[in-house]
Amino acid sequence: MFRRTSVLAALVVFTALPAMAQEFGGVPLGGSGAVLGKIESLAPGCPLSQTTVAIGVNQTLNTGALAQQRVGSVAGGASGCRPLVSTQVVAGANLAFGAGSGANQTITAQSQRGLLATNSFTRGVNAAVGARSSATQQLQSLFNH
Amino acid sequence: MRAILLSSLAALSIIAASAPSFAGEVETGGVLLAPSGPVNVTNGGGNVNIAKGKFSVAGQSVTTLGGTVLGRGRTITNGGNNRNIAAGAFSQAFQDTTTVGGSVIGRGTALTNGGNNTNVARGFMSTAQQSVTTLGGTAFGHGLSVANGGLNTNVAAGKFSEADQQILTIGGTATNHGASLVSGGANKNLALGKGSFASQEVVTAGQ
Repeated sequence: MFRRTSVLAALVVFTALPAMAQEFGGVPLGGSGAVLGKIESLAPGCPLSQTTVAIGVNQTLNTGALAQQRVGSVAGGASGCRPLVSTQVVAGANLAFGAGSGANQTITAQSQRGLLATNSFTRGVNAAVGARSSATQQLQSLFNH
Repeated sequence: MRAILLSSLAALSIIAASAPSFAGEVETGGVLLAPSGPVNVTNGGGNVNIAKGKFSVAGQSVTTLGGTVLGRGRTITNGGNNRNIAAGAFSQAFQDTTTVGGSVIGRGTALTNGGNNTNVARGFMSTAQQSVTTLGGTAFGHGLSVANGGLNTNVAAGKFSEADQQILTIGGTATNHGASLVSGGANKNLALGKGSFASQEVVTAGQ
């Protein structure tokens, strides 16, 4: 009798919670028909989110040294495919420490614009520290329409 | 004993039966999508360019192109807060930052920040040139456009040094009962060194 009752109680405990969670669950959408429309307009096969990160570190330490760096990043995906949220990060550090040294850095990133949100972060540090040194840095963050 | 066990199990079943309300609260407190529509954030500022060694040269170019938002969205463009420093004797530092933000069509908000830049030539016979261009948003239809391009500092501190700063911040248009706020003041231009030269141009405009 006790075993039957305990089994029944366990069933009640472990089945009631997930069942009700599913009934009341999901993502509440703050009453935004526009957001729902954007989500529904997402083409089949397109990703919900897309993140592109392009980071480069280029430096010279010795006298007369030359360092050149080119970093390119192009987000993949089918043509005409736009994710709901698109995030792109471009960051570069270009440092010429050696005397008479040269450091050149170019970073280019390109991705699709998001249907709901597009976030772009671009940040660069460029320093010619050594005597007669030179440092050149170019950062580009682009989005397709 | 059996009665105690049964009563405890009954209590458990009651808790289980009342649990759905608790689970529902947790789920409804989950992810909330912004009801205000699309968001476009473009951060192209915060860059640092330094020529520290003697006869050193540092050149930096940063371009960030943002986008357009339709509906009740927000577009935030941050292109300022850059630093360009020619610290070494006979050094040269060149910095060029271009940040193009988005437009809002609808009851949106376009916020553009292109100011708070620093350009310093503190080495002997050094040269520092800084150009910061920030194109912000346009708000059509009951929108709000805010453009901030001020709080810039240009200093020629070294002997016979030269500092040149150009700040262009263009905010947005607010049509159809919209509002446009433009702020471009609080700039400093200082020639502190002997024989130094400092020039500053700050343009902050709506459309």
